[in-house]
Amino acid sequence: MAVKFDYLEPRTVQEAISLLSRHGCAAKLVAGGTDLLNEIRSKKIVPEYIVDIGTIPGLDSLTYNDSGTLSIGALATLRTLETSPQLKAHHAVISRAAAQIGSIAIRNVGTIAGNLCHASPAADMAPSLLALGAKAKIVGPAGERTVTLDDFFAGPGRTVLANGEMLVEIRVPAMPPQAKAVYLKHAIRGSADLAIVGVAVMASLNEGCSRNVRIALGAVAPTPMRARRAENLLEGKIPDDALIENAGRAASDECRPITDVRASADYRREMVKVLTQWTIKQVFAENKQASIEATALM
Amino acid sequence: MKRLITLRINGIEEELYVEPWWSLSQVLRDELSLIGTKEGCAGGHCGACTVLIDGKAVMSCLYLAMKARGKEITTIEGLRGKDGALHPLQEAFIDHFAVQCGYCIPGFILTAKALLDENPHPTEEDIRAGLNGNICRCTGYVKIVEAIMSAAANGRI
Amino acid sequence: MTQLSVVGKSVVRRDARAKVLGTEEYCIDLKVAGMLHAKVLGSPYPHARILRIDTSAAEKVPGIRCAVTEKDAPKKLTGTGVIRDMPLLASGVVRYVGEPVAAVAATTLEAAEEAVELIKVEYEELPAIFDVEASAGTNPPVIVHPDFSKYRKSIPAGRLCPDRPNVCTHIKIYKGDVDQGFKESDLIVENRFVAPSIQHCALEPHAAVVVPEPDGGLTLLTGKQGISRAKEDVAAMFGIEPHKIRVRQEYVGGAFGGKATIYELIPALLALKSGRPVKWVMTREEAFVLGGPRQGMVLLIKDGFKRDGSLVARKMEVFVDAGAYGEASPGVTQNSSSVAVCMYRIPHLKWDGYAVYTNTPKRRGMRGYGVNEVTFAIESNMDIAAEKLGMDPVELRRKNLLREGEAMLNGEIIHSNGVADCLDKICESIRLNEKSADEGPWRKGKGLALGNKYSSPGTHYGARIHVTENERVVIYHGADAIGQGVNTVMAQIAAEEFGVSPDSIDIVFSDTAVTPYFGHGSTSSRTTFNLGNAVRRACDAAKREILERASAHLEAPPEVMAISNMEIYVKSHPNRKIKVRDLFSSGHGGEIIGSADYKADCIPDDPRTGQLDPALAGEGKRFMAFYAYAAKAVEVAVNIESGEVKVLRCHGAIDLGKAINPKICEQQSEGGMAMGIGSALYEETLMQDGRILNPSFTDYRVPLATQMPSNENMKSLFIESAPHKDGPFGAKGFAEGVVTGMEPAIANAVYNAVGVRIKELPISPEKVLRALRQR
Repeated sequence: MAVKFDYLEPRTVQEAISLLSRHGCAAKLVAGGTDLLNEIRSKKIVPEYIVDIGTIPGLDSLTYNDSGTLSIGALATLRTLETSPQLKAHHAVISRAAAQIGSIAIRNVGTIAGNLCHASPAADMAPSLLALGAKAKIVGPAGERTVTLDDFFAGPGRTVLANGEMLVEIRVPAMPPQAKAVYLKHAIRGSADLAIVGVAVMASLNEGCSRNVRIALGAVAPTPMRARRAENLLEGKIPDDALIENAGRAASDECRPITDVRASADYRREMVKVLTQWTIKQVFAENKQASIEATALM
Repeated sequence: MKRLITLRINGIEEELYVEPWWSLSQVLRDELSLIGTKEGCAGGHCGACTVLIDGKAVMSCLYLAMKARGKEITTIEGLRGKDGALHPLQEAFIDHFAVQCGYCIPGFILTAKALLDENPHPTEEDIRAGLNGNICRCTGYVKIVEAIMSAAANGRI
Repeated sequence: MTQLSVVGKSVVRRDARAKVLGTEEYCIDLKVAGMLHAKVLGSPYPHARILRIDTSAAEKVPGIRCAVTEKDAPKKLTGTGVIRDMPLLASGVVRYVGEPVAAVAATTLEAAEEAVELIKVEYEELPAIFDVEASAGTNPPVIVHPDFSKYRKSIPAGRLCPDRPNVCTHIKIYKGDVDQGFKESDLIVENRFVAPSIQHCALEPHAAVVVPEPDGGLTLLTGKQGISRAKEDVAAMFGIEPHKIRVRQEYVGGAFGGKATIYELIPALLALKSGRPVKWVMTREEAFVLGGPRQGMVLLIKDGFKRDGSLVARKMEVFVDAGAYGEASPGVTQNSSSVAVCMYRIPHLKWDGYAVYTNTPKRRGMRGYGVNEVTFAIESNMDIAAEKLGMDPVELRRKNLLREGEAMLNGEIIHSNGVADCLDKICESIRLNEKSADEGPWRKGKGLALGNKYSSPGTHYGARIHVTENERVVIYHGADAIGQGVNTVMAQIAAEEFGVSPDSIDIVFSDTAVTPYFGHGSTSSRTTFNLGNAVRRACDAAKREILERASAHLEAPPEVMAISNMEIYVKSHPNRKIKVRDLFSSGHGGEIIGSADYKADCIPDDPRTGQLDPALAGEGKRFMAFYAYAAKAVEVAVNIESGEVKVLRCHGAIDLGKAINPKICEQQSEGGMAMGIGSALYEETLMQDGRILNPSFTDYRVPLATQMPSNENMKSLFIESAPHKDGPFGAKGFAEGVVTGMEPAIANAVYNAVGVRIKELPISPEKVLRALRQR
């Protein structure tokens, strides 16, 4: 079957939703298209209609409200996230995660919605957003709903988006005071490759104890996941090397990686253990650095 | 069913009939005979198809032609000055022996242009990171990086 | 020694301008009026009988003009001239996943894509064999070519192996008595190494446009290596007189050995059947499967040393996975043995190399033609031995190196061997014995390896020089412009010969209707050496013609005259002179033409022993046209927590005889080192049940700019202390030698850093981490 599809350009979100509802699985949304076109060409999906939401106005903004909650429009490009001074100031981990996806040319076109809705278990935007406690705002024929990102992914390549629904916004709460967050991606050729393992950690250090610990893993389960046992091990304790090593071990035990062309399950498990430790240590190093700087300012 | 669209390429408005599923690279190469934009993998990995859209590097093999309406598209053919003079990056690639089989070169030059337009004083590391969407099998990247550093140092981008 | 004025200078490449402008037309860019687009249907099974093919539904697709199966193809088998074992389209049986079974041509590519999916093929699956060692046995469970004995082959009886049904060639290099040698050895070092299949990844995928001509012939517009041979192969396959076949091309978007395969037969068949020009462009996936994975090798090596480090005996058994059809594999199996033969002094050698059929995609020779894999085994083993002997690995090598004038292990007397200088310079350059400090989990280490790459004599290679009335020199040659800078270098040579600027030189290349015969094409690092010599001889012939014509004007015999800067003068009376342009005005019309060819005068070896005739060898007759030697040294950093390996520094010394254009030589050296980094650390064709799992750039990882050391840490050293007496200005060829030695250098450096020895390429983080944990 040669690649053929009809191209529809809704002007509004409502129009997009009604097109999606009308055509059901024969229609696919396209934002940037970098993942979608590859899937269509390799025959993984054969849509009759492409619904291009790329020109719907108002879907690509990055805004902060007064309480520091970040709203990222679905169409914000990865490059926008990578370079945004606002993000670098308030939610730097999102910038850094975006910077580790593909090449600049891909990031110029690829969107946050695309990365999340393509729902690769290795999606690089997912772990940091999970660690930050992000929520997904979804609009559909039945109206609006908000889902925490932990509940957004349903399986490899699948989300909880029902027929006719689309993701319009990602909402990220302000980080807890003094919290830092880091995302590390382990891949053979760095950002050019799909992650073999991705780890995001958010935590703050209060009087030497870790607080607000959230750890998320990518590429080691059917969906991006939280490493809750590892989180619980660290929460409220002094993060010495032994504890951090245990947290790494716990994360490694919790994950469910597979063996594929990129890596074996064993290596992935091992690298979760290693990367979790590296990420935690980097977070706490940044915490310590920030408090040194804060002290210096006083 | 083909649609009549207008694309603005290298400053020229081109009117053409395109199928909705055609990529920008297909349209450039097959409909407009702008063969400087190459096809290497049709998957957005090798960078041979790189063009600039509103000054930003884009993999034209993954960019639907329909999406390119209303944008400023620059291909390698559009890089020369109006007087025909080579762009400083083109000169640098020649002078620094950055060209071997040449197939990847238009993609590298456009990627480099976008890089330097955004960051006129990159470090070697910045350049290498910025080139990770372009594959070259001939050069080992040594003289490509050298050419870009030289063009940046000369500051005439 | 005359001072050279152009040769030795880094003249700017003459093809660079069109390439940076994007105006250069590669084969994939070509459009011919009325052209159809081809698509090929490949087999989904690694081994199956074809019961039925039905193209009727495909032929009904609007736009389809032609569909072909083996019924439409000549009943002949093709190959590379060594074995003819391959049908144009699968005939009765398919032997690898992806093997072309049928093809269509349509007015649009989309129609062709649609049609090809409507071709119905019924298969009966057969058992298949994938493992090269199992396949090489005397009683393999599956025989890939039951009719092998009936195939036309130019393999001597001594190299056939009837007791191993899947072995298409058995190469033997036997010297002395290895068993005796091992008895005399104080230390035996025995290891198994594996170099997997990798991929050429030329950026331009394989493409061809075949145009049927009114006289029943064909014009092939292509982008390949070996247009002269393509012409012969196409003519032979279709029974068309060779003069009716024309093959031509411009610049090729990368080759690396992958484009020496004859893939144009499919579009040619479609063109003949439809009567229309047909264009076939491989998708990237097809380029990975049909454009050819490289052979994979399993190498068993056993070296015997005396306590003082002298090599006494070497036994090697090498299993070369040829895939389903022989193609280049017999040549690779034979020629890769040169590594074992030409570097070290060893009294006893037993080399058995087997080219083995398996039900996997047929393999293409790739830059190095087997030499890199053998070097990986030998140079890793040398370092392992050095440690056991308590000797410095550099000293161990120095002690055993063969020198100029000594006999190689096949009896060939060594001429032009700069390896000792390569070794010295590289140790100095990388400061081998200085270890760099660790950084966190990164441990640093350095390693080196030697390498060499032969160039096969091939056949003859021609050049023609025309001198025009406005004193331009036009070179006509049939070599392939695959990115190596052939035209710039040849222009320099001709410019040197005529004492003019390279800007006065024009080049007409790669057109069998117009340019002279060029044997096997630009392969085997042969172009500078063979074409350079042919061009010089053709320049001489043209100059003789010039002197003949001038003779009448200057009333002097040719012997007393000389040419300089397009002026002929009497040597003793330089004021008696005439310009070349003035030779044209007095009734002598037409161009001044000089034609020549060059063939390296070499002798064959004995197929039963791989030895040369001692008498002929004693006279200085050679087996290979030349050998270029190399030394590589690298510094790596190994992360002990993740197993990642980074190359920090990469230095290559290459014994190239003479750098005709130093910058172009650097281009080759740098690109070669990058390719070696790729095969050492990242690259592998992954297969399961004969299917390639990673036929895309997502999961087949070529090094990017981020994988390479910084520019100041890449060094290329050119050794010109051993010029070749038969090379143009002493030059040899080295476009493959620049890769050789990278894999063992990196393996040795990893060992130096963290004490783990990886014997199966690529040296992936997983393997390193597993080895570290096991230690």
